[in-house]
Amino acid sequence: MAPDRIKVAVVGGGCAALTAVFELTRPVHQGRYEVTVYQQGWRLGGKGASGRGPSGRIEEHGLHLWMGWYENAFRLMRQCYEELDRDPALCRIATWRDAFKPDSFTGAMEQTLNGEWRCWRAALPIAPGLPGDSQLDSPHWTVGDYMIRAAALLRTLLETITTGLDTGDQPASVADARTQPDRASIDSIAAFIRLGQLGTLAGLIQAVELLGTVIREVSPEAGRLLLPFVEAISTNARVQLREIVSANDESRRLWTIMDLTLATMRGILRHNLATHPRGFEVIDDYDCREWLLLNGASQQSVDSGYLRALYDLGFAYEDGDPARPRLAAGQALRSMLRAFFTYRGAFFWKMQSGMGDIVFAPLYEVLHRRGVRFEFFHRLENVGVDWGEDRHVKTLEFDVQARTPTGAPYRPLIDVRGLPCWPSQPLWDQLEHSQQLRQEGRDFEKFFEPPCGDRRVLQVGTDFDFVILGIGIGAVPHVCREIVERDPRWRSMVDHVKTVATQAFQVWLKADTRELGWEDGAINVSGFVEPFDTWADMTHLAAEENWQESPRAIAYFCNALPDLEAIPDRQRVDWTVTNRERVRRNAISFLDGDIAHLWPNACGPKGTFKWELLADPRSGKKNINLTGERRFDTQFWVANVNPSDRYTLSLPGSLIYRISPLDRTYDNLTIAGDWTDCGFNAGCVESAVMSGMLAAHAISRVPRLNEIIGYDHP
Amino acid sequence: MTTRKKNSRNAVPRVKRPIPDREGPIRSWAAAANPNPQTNHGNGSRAEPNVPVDHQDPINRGVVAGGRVVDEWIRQAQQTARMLGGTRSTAGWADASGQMFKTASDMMAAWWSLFGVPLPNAAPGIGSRQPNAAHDSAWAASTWAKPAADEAGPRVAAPPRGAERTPSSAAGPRVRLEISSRRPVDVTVDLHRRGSVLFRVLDLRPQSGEAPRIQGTTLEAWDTEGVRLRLDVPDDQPPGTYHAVILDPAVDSAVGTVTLRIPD
Repeated sequence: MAPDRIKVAVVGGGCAALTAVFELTRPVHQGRYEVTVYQQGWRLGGKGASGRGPSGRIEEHGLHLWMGWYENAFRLMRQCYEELDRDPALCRIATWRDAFKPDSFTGAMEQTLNGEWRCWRAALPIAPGLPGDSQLDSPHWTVGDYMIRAAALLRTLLETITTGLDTGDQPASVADARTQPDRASIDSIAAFIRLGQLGTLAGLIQAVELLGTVIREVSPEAGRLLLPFVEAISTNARVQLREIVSANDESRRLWTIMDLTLATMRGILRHNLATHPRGFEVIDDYDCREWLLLNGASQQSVDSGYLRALYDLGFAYEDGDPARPRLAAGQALRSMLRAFFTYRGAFFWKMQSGMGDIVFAPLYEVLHRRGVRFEFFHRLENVGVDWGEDRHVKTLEFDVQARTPTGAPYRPLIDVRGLPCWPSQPLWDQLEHSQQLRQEGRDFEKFFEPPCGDRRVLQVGTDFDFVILGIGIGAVPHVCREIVERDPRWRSMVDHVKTVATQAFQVWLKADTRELGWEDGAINVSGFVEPFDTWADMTHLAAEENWQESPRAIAYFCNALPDLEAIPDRQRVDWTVTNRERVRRNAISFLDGDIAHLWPNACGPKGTFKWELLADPRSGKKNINLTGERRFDTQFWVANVNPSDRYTLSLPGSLIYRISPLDRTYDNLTIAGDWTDCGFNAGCVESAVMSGMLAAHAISRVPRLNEIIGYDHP
Repeated sequence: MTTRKKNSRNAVPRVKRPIPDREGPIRSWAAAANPNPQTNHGNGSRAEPNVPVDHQDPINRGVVAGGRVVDEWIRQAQQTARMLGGTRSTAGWADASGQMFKTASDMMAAWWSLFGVPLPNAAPGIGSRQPNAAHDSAWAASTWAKPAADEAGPRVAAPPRGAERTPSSAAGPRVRLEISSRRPVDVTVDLHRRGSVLFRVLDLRPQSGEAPRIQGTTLEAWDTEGVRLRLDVPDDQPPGTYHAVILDPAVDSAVGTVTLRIPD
């Protein structure tokens, strides 16, 4: 144990905060950092928190899919599970491979001109390696690498289109022509067109092949030289393929990807992104769609389900307004390139239980073993600053929401068939005055209610030396009032780094998806209707829950939740209830109408939802038999309107206002979260983990910056 | 390192965070390696950087020419397809597709030779589905011939850069192009057989329109393993694409083509 330990107060228990704790308590530090985590309510996880509800069902904050390029996040979890060293004979999720399973099947919904919805499906290929593997082939990715991969992608798409044409109907035989003159004429024309198309594609394929080779050999500094070349390909492809691809949906979709890829390559060259000191940041003032249009993408491609899916996955709608899709172009480009060209194993990885059980319970257990203290039921109220010569945090003021009768640490996990899990409610029997708290209807995670009044003030030098502020950006104006008022940079950050409320619901069904009318396997789909544009089939979780009669399908839906007004102050105690009711109504309306596009058999002759399909977790225990849409009340839904629960947006023009965890304006304070300037400035697990690593570096200089994969990235 | 210091107000020791090596990511390794680049990248996010292109640099010229090559690939591939549009025989299609693939490959080879680097792995393209044995031992050369001096200057007969090359096939001879033209032109020689001391090149005919033919083109043995094409492009020759068939008098059959493109 280090003789002169440094006390670190970590406020918040989400991905970023716990990553920082994991780093600071590694053996390499030899116990130098004495870490205490202060967490409001009863569970860790932040926006990734989940809990177990009735029948052990998993209740999530929202839909969480891990992506195959989350190198830092996977590395963290792999190390965590290794250290956890669970016995597979005793725990069904003992290793990280038990915890995460590859999932390559994804889709984007598109509406045809006649109003019909069609799903654009893709089974993305398995890539070499696994996310989080220690040895990366390339320590950093360059624009040249991406351009080469983009050229290879173009070629593949072109060849796919060619294959489709080549396997079309063959020209009629002479004998046929004699007996079917009309048919012969048509076939002759078709053959002519097909030959012309193939000729065109032959030329384009070669052009793209050459492009890839040129990029390999020509320095990225020659980007401007390559521009005419790419433009020639773009122009030819656009002119020559327009009619070809309009023949069928599949070709049109392939062309959409080509069109967007060509526009991206053109934009990279036009804006000199390969060599610009600011990398992709230089185009962050543009909206992604605007930037693609500027660089030659067609309106049709920009409006495609593919691009809408990108926005949907990032809730990228300002104020939740579907009419205002807004996503900073540079960050969007970084996201797309990382997602499509750097994933390992599968494109998506699905957790095999709730995110709380898969991520935060193991982290809690490992960190607890390392000696980290967890102070649950501590809600931060104010950060006090000493504004002297050395600006620093001098106090942290908490509202203590609940205490244990003896002052012993709260033990937060429950056992669900051998797996440590988080409950959806506090474990009341561990709390003092639990009956009174329950009668008062205390919701310890709710922002919009008055403090409990049990104040605790931590002092610098006594209770802490360093502070890691790991709360959501939405809460910063409320708990850092002094800083936001006096520090222009913080003021700009909270003004510009905006968030959006989200909504989600989960249903457990008595019929499997095939019986519901979905012909394909388990899928993740975006680009669907408002109010729920994203659906993920989570049926694989049924075995993990604890039902008497296991549901045959589980579906998660989510979307942004449009703001009705600016975030109100804390006195607005009805705010959560009001918005929960909005989400409930949205979900019922969605099931009673739009779901028929996905699950035609889930609806009756009049198109209304068959509510009896919903499995009730309480059935068999009480004489409860809700009918009609009231049966939806047995399912789970959430309105994420608490400021710290809101999703962080990457709006055009906003990213420059983010502050890095490395910033030293306050010499004992660092920040952590996907809202910080962490290298990958988007709302996701990977960003949060990177930010946590930066926060740890800010305090200990470990990990080294070049060990944060993807931090140094265009 | 983290440092513990006295707090000026209450004399309680207080530690400060260490100074990090840097406070942001490296977005451009080139910029990091060369903090004072010559190019002006600008500061505004919406400003497009204005990087001048040196059009006298041979690589620059090659890349720029590459854009035109793409146009030509498409044009030629379509033209070949159009010529065969009326036929419906499988053999005709195989020849056509093979020809298209060959044309594109040849142009790529010639263009790429400007850089003086090895060719990438041969791309199968549609050729992989339409193998054309007749082309297996073929070799070809093409280039964009640009006058060395300015375009108003004297006519030049020197072979343009890249005109002389070793074919990818070890069995193939070298080809030397001697083009005389005031204007930049593109010449492709597609020869499927070697052996004759003197080939016969028919007149270059316009692909379309009524432009006059170009006469006097020769293809003859040169050096011990190569051939030399001599082509004189009249100053007043209309822009367009011209084709000529190469005959081998020794076997009395067509053994290749010459294609000339004069841009607008």
